Amino acid sequence: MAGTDHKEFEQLAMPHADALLRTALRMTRNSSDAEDLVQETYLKAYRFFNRFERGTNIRAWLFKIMTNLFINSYRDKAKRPEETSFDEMEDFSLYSKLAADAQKDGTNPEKELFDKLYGDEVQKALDRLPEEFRMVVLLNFVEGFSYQEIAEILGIELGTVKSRLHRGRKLLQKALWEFAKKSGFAKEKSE
Amino acid sequence: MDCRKAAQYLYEYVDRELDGQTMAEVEAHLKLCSHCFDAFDMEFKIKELVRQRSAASPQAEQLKMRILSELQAIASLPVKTEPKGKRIWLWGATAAAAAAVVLFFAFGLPDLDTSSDPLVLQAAAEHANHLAVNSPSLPEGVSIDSVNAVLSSLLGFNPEVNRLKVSNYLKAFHAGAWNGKPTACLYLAGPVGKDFSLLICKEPVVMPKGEKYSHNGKEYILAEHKGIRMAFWMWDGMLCCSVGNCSEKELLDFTWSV
Repeated sequence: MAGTDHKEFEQLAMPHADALLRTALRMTRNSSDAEDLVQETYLKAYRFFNRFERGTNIRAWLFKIMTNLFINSYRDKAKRPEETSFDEMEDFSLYSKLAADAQKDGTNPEKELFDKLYGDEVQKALDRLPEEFRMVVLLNFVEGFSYQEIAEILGIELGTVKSRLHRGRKLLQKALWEFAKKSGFAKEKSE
Repeated sequence: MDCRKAAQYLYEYVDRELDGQTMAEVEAHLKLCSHCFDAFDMEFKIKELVRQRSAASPQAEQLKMRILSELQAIASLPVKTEPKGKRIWLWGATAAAAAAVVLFFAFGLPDLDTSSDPLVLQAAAEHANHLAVNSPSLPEGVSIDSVNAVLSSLLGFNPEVNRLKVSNYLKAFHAGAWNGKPTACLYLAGPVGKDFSLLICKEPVVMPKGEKYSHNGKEYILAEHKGIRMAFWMWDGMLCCSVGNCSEKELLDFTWSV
């Protein structure tokens, strides 16, 4: 690669390393795999930089490379924690659970719930999402990609993005609720 | 717009995916209906919670430096890489169990026990010793892509074939000469926390004679030189040799896990 392209690549691509690593961590659920994944992403992007259309969204392009790499080489390695199952996929709503509590005892359960959820519990809840839902939730919630961008990154239909995000949300809320229950919040409430 | 209609737009509203017209209609409803407002607000809060708690990792800065130096290295390929520095290889507390794996490319080798070559034994054993105390390597964080680039330019190695296998374990890498032959040496992390190395040499080498041994359905030839055990076997058309100053069983278990 010529010197000017090299510089250009550094300037355009490197600022996104934090975001890539953040998402890689939640994809692989393992910090050394996450670092390898990001590094491989950059090397691949560097090699194929001539295929990047100048003026288009480099962030989305890098995420596309990373998710492809993840799906092709890291997915099988990623150890799977107990994943939230969705066979009992009733239409879980954290809002209605909390609203019911609020009616019962007139407290502000919402504030208490958010106070109870520490950073690593939110991450654990994310980690428990099955991969297809976790990816869309990460790309939308954390990285702020639009439905259309996510469809392009993952190579899926727009409708699939919407339905996965919908189910992902329900599962995430359920997992958050379960963590809150474990930390004593919901138990107090139900007694 | 009524509550049911508003609820249909809940997620798209929160995700800012609605067109201006629909957005305004939803907002008008939210101003009138506190129940819907609370429900929508909750979704915003959950989304914000997840976003906030997924902060960037503190390792990011270090990783960026590594990637940058990696890119610099690639930018200057193709290279006849010479070891850039020396560092002591740490074998850990169970030094005796650490193994070195030496992998030879053996093109057109007819079968496992054609002839004996004491020089191979000696060289392999010396190499294992050398690795144990004095292991040259590229800087931290060398990636499989740059390794593959060197392997293919130096040895005509096809990276696609063994890519995943090696990348699962790769810790460091150097390319240079061993016994006057162009050589690439990969330092790999053992699956049980023991480090070992793979030596890939372009020149064909011959299989030494020795005791035949069957382990996990594979046939090995065991040999020993100056107290260092070696196991030779065929893998994927290549003659491989693992070397270590450990027990036979450990060596073979280790070999099998590669």
